[in-house]
Amino acid sequence: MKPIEEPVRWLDPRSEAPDRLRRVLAEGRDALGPTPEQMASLGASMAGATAAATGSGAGAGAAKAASIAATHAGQGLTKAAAVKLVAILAIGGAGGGIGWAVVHSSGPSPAPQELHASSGPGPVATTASVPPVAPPREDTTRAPAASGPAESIPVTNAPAPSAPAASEQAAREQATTTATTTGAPPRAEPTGALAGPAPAPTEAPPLEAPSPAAAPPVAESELALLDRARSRLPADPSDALRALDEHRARYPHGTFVQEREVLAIEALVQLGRRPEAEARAAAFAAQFPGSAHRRRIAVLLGGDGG
Amino acid sequence: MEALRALEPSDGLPPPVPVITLDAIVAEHGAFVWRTLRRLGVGEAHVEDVAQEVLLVVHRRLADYDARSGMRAWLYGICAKKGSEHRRRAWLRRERPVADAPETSTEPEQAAVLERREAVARLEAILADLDPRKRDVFVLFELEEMSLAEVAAAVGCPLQTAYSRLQSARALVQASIARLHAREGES
Repeated sequence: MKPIEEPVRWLDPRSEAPDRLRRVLAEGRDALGPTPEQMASLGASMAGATAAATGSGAGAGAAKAASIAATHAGQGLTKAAAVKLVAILAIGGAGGGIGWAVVHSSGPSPAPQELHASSGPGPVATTASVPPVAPPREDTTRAPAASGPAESIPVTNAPAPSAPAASEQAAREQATTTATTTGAPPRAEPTGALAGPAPAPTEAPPLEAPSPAAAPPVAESELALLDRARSRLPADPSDALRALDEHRARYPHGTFVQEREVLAIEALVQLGRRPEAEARAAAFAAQFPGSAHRRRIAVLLGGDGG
Repeated sequence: MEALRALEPSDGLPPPVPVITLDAIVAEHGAFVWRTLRRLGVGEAHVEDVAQEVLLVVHRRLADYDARSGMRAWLYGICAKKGSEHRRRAWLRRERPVADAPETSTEPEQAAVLERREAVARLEAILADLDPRKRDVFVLFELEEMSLAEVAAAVGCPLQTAYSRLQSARALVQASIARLHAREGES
């Protein structure tokens, strides 16, 4: 069988794909995915849902599920209950769009921490008490299971930091460094938790290792930066502005230039730096005369025309 | 060689217990599940519910997970099943996606909502010419960044087939983006 060469992904900047195409792909993907708030809510509601589901969850995993759920019931339920409410609001408010407006309005929802929390302390206890997958195939997997993690350590220890912001940063850096050193750059996301120590049957590592081969998600970090700015805006406009400045420096011709400018104007207004806000609004109007955002900018500046 | 390495318990430290927890799956693959369901036609209003269903199945069947085909291939199979169940239910209920967001949304956030929808629409536009089989391969490879082998496992076809589907999907996508650009250029 002749080996099939893995094509260069179009999201990879080294590929032949034109930038616009790459952007459409990356933005479409991001837009289809959950917002950080939605992710947090999903993670939190799963913690509660597994506890509830275990009662009816017959089958091979029931016993393990029970102990996992028991752990979660203790640690996760209170949070889950609280966040579930947010989740319901978010679903109700989603309406084909995204629910984070509602999530925000119902209280500061520190999504990444929430997410981290649900995947951090929880599983530690779980981990100690239940190795959910390994035992059934212990006989066949002893060696490869250990070789999995060994192989992936160099790949994964950079993105391992679990605080999402940090890991995003690390992933970005790592993506750039590793892209040059290996033919198949490891995925930018932290795959360590799973891909590495996965209870791999014999052939798994070769499959698992190249699979994360991926270009750094192109627009994801741009979007992530703006999401950060947007979420900080109500509480800390200067912090939001810093994120926006970073965006401006890194993505001068990014996909979300207009969105960034609107947020920046909003931040400047909130900080009372009105002349700057107005200057940026004027520049915006000159650069994007037909933009739908101009109405919003007019509202922000309290003017009556856009 | 690998076996040798496996026998060394990394300098006296106890070897890490290889465990997959649901938390880890949610954290790492939750977004993938979410996007996959959305692409499979689950509306924004229901996607979190269906994602939960998927993850509950994952939770119950964690023991069945076969790492050879890769976590995402496995998740994809579950998503496909749950997604189609959902579509069937929605069809029976004659449900339509909820259109109106409550008034609590403020304008910039709505702008973000719109932008996301537009981004999805743009993506849809360039994928419009692909039949489902090519589309699956294209999306899993290009957007989800799965390896071709993983893609083949996920959609259940030989590697060579995945490869040729990808090639022909690429050609179609390039053609449709060229058409879109030509149209934009005229205006």
